[in-house]
Amino acid sequence: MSQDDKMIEDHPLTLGQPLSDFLLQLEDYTPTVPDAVTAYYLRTSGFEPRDPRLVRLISIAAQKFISDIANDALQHCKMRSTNSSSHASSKSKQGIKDRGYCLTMEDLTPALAEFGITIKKPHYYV
Amino acid sequence: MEQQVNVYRKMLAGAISGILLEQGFDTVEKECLGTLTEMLQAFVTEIGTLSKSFCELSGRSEPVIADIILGFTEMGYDFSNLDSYIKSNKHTVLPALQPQQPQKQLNMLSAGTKQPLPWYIPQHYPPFPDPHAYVRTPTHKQPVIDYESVREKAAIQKKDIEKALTKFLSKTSPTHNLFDTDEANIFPLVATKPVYPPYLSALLPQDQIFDPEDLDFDPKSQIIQQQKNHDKAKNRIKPEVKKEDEEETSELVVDVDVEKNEENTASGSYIDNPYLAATKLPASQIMDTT
Repeated sequence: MSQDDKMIEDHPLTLGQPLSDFLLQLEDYTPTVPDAVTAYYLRTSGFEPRDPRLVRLISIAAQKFISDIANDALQHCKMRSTNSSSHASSKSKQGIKDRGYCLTMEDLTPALAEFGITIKKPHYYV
Repeated sequence: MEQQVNVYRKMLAGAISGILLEQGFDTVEKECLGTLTEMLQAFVTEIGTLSKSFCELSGRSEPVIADIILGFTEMGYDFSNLDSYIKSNKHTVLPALQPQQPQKQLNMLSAGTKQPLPWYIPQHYPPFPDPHAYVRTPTHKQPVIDYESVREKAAIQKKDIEKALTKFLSKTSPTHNLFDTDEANIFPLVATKPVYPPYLSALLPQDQIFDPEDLDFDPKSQIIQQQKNHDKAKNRIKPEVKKEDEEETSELVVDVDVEKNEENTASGSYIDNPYLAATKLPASQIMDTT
């Protein structure tokens, strides 16, 4: 119990330090999301970014967020494709198809459900 | 209508496409892209709000790294793997935006100088349009209608007309010359055409005739008139002519006369040109059969 408490205590502390060290390393690295875009959206919520490293940190965090979801969706997609290919007899056609993965709502919905985000899109627009 | 597309949204969509390409996806559904863009925007906004709240909570105005960490924790976002994430993959960087050429504004062709704004209108208001758009200038002067000038104009016009006509006639119609010398053309006189006999116009008064065309144009009377002329020319007076009063019974007679007239015209009578002869009545059916 005490160890758990210590872990919980250490968690932010230990992570805070590497993260602040990480900030220093951030200057070399450019995230995919441009700085200006992130800064724009931060400004809309009241966060005026004085330190560009903070902006980069947030953009990297957002990038990882999306990347994790995409990864999960890819796993789902691969699972589906392997399942369908095992049932089907001809593999050549399936092989060609599988090389180009397409992110569909079918894969995205369960991936997001794991994160606690429920998505319900209408099948057709009336 | 052109919808104002948020540029930042577009950039976010581009960034997401880059992330998805990294993961291994080649194509993505439009719905998914929209969903992920929305999520990314919400994420960034949420972090910003949370960090700002935390920093203000502690009495500061500028967020620090600690505020961001607290924000992540509040959101439930695990940031422990950030370090490894960065170093593992090579992330795509979006290309720099090229400055777009601003839409070439077609210069409105301005005709004339715009009028300045009056003193009671502030200068930041839009200027007046080109004066031709709203200033109406009449293209002609109002006609002068007072009696003197109208009379004067009429008199001048009359004089000009007479002058012009006489000039024209002097050039085209036969002329007399006042002098017998070689340079006689200086003062030409328009030659008169004497009517024979000269007193004829005095004998035939024209004052009661209002419309020369309305002079009783009666085909029958014209035919009869022609017959009279024929008779006078041949010195023959036909008794049938006297029956002109009985118009109903004289149709046959007139037709017979017409036939005889035709014979006469064929033999070269008073008017030999059929186009100059008076119109002939349509022959009756009995006459047609014969």
